[in-house]
Amino acid sequence: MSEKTSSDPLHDLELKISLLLRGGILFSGVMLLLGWLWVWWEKGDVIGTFTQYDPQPLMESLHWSLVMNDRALFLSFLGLILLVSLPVVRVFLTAVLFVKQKDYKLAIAAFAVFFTLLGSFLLGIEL
Amino acid sequence: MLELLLLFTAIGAGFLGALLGIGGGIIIVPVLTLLYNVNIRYAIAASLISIVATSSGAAASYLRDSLTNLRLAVFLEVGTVSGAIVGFLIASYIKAQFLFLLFGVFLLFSALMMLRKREEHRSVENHPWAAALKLDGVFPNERGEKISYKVQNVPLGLFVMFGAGILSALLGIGSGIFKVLAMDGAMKLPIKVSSATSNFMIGVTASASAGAYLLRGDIRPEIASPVAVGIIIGSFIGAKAMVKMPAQIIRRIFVVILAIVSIQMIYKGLS
Repeated sequence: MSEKTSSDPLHDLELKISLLLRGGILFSGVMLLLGWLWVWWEKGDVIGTFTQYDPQPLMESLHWSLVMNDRALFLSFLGLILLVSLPVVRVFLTAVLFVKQKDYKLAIAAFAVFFTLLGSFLLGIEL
Repeated sequence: MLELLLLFTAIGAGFLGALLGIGGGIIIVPVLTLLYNVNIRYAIAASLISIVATSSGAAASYLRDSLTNLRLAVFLEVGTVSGAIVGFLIASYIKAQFLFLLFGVFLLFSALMMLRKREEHRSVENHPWAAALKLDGVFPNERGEKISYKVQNVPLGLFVMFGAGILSALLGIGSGIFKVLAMDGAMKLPIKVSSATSNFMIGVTASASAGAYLLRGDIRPEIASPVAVGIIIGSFIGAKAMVKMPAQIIRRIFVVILAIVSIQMIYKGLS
């Protein structure tokens, strides 16, 4: 049952991708923290206003924060966008990795995940 | 002051989550809805953001332990991500009360699952799909030797993953419990491999619905930021403190709390 194995190049490359991802998560975490503290400093507690569900689409919120020069809110939203995009980038890089390894079946699976992720994001846009 | 308090609550949730090996979502959604009176849809969306942050940030650690089956994770993500799309669509059409009910039932189920003892499996034969996609693998045991394992019931596993994706998007949870059920229950993977592979997949599953919720406007930085930052800090401290804490006792206390909170969630759903 037991055997000695050599190091797996796919595993090593994926580890590099994941370390890159960790850096991105930390960076977006810092953006979220700074943005939130800034918003909180300027507006105080607003959590009480979220008892009722009244969503404002992301594009509108971004546009609004630019028009009103609300840099704190803009920074927070940028942090959120970066955070949510990072796993999508990871899946894309993994798919490329499978192609480079000529492992086409798994590459198709990874690209399927990638495009499904993109599709799911588009569902959030109300046309 | 409430938002600062929320940051500390999230640190506590992350700490407890890391200590008990569960996601923060199971704690943060009831806390936001029952204590802070935040609308459940905002709570679910904020919870998903924290799951993306913690799971993606920890992915490198799971890989470094050589327990994660990367090929299997990528294949099963097809199921979880498509399930998350369905979950997002269902969530858009059902009432908030039903989300409370569903969450309450999920909490009860989670409490029961936390009490069960997981059995170690070792499959000797691959399912044809596992053989074709080379989904079997090796993992290191305590002595550092590499132990090989096979993968069974791949279609059933994929189907359960689809369900896990639906629940993740609906309730703002990582669905680790269901992923692990699919992997060690149906696919007969070793416990360590299924736990590590499940944790590795959670971030991608959560990002599918988190992206949709973010674009629709359900994710508000005023709630999501302190929750995500707090859970990242809490889970970091929790992972460090894990060896020094009486995890079994905390686990039993937490199961009781979970059962009480589940009744509160069900009651809120019915009222």
